[in-house]
Amino acid sequence: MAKASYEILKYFGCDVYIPDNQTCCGQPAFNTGYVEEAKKMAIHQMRIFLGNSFPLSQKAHYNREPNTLNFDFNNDYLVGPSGSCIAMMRNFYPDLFKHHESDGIMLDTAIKFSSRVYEFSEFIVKVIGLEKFTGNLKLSVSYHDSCHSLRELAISKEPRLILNRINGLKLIELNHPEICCGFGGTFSVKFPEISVEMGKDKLADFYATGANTLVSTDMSCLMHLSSIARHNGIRRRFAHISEIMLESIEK
Amino acid sequence: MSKNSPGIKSLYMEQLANKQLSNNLSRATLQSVDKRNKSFEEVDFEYLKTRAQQIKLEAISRLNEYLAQFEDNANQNGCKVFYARTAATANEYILQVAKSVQARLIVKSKSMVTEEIELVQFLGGHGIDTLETDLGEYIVQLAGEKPSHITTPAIHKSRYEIADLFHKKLGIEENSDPEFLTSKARQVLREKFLNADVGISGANFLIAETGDIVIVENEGNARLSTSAPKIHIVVSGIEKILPRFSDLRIFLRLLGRSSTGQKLTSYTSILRSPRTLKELDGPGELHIVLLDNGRTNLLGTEYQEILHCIRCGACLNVCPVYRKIGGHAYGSVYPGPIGSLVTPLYSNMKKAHDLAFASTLCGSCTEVCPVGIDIHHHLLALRRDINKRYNHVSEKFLINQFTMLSLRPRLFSMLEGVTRLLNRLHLLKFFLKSWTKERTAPDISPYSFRKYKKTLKQ
Repeated sequence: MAKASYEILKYFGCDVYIPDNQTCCGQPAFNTGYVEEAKKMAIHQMRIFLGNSFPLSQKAHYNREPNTLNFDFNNDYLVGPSGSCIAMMRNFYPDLFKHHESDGIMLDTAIKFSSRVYEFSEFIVKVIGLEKFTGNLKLSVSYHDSCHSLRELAISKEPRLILNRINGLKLIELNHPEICCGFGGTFSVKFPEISVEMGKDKLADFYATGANTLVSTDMSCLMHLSSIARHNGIRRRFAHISEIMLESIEK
Repeated sequence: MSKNSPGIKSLYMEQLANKQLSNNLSRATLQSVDKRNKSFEEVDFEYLKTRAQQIKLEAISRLNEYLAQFEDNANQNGCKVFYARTAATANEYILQVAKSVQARLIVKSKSMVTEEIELVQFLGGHGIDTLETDLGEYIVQLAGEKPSHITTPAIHKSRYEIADLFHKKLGIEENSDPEFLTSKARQVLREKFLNADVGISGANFLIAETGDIVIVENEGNARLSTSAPKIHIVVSGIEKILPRFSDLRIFLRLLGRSSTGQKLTSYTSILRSPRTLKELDGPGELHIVLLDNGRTNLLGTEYQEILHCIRCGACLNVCPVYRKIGGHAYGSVYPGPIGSLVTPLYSNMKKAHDLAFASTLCGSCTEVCPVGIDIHHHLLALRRDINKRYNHVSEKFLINQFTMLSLRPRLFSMLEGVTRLLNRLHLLKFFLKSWTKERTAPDISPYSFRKYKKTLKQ
């Protein structure tokens, strides 16, 4: 998936830079209620992606390689193939630093940073332009709206527009594409039984469409759903939209 | 709300295992969501929501003023207003009123506030029978259960289960035709209305400008409960106040659509006073009990807007967790997303330990809330507050370790390698016990993107 996203961005002629030192955006800690920990991860993440444009000094000892990036707030973007990481970085990074005056400089940075953050499919449609993309792939797919893409970022038409640009691809809508798959981050291990039951409903909806592949913009939903499907011996494909795009231009 | 009643952690498994329940809930809630969505096609939801939000913000920010205005007007209209700080004082007042007419039988229409203060049990302890007259509440009362939903209390039961219940408790033939069941219940209830000494109701809105009490319903039982007996007692949370009569035009359009997908409920009663000299019937006394019971705790906090809730139940219907486990699993009077906020914040912060986490934060609740309460983000804030107040040692340790790793990219990528190796050796499942009970271990790619990236640079 990471590879596919990378290849697609290259295909569109983007100059893709993947900092080695990136780790986690901090969403798991934040969504479990650990704000201080999430703040630390957010600062790390912004430091890594902004490079010399980060307002505080670099902590060299954490880095494997010198960070030579100069993030340009006017021309550069941060693109992530995951609605939930992007929701964290766009919506909640500014939130994290809103409450203490001493965080003022981080708040400014987070606001500027968040305005340059894009989810993968959204970036393709809104920034690159859909007209630059057509593909060919004989495949029937259903699309699952991840909650973070749909309700935190208001992304629902973008991935569908992309899928519809692929000749031979048939998009069969789920009955309830908008209902949560049950993953919910730590919810999936705090209430595993409910989480799995919700996943089964989503899968039943998917199987009923007769489509072969379930596509989404979030790996976490897909990981949860595919784990349940495989546990029950069902062989269907679960794919990130970038993987489908890559296949459609390779053939 | 009993402080030591079992919580969601100990209740949900049993509810989840009940396939009948799950089927009933799925059918009923999805249907409600569907009806709700359709009913909003013809009005501008966003406009109504914004207006409702503004009005509620005004009402709750100046709660003291508007309550005082309401009290003045209600007094002038001949009503008696009583402020109850706690459930106990509310119950005691209601008992005294009932005793003043030697009440033996009370009829009550649907009211979540009376559930909150456990009024029926309290009065029962003093030898006074209280009969639920809302059909759903009546069914739940017959079954010896509690409501599992704030607007459709018997949503967890199918009509077949209700037919069986009526057969056993009322000795009538077993017939699951909804019309038959309703007419039988009506026969039983009609007689009780005429014999009751006191009628108790809730309120959907209290109008400060006029002192009016507004009640919406579909069965006419609230109308009977509030007009047939000699005394009518309204029990309402203080947050039900609206500044002006004209505000109703916004809220009535939102409430019916949000709860049942109706443009307007079958009955909207606007009550102003006890029977006047010119009137032939109606109650001789009208008492209004205004309940705080923890509501004022929220004033001035980031959670204040939770007091905007009009108890429509839309967030329950749309909640995929509620749909799986039902209202009883929450172990509190108010279930579902809004209940997971109200329960800890009104009275019992400890309950937030589980309730705040019993959500995937999918945001469907916030999306449908007719007064724009940011429900799922409040749940998130509650998680933060809980962690500040109580220490979950093992969880905090894990999160700290993870944070430490995230700040050290070299270690982080080493751990990625270890995870990949464990996955390759099929050992990952031993580290993920709560994940792998009904799921295989995550399908982690055997290839490292970091490595792939390196090959590109050369």
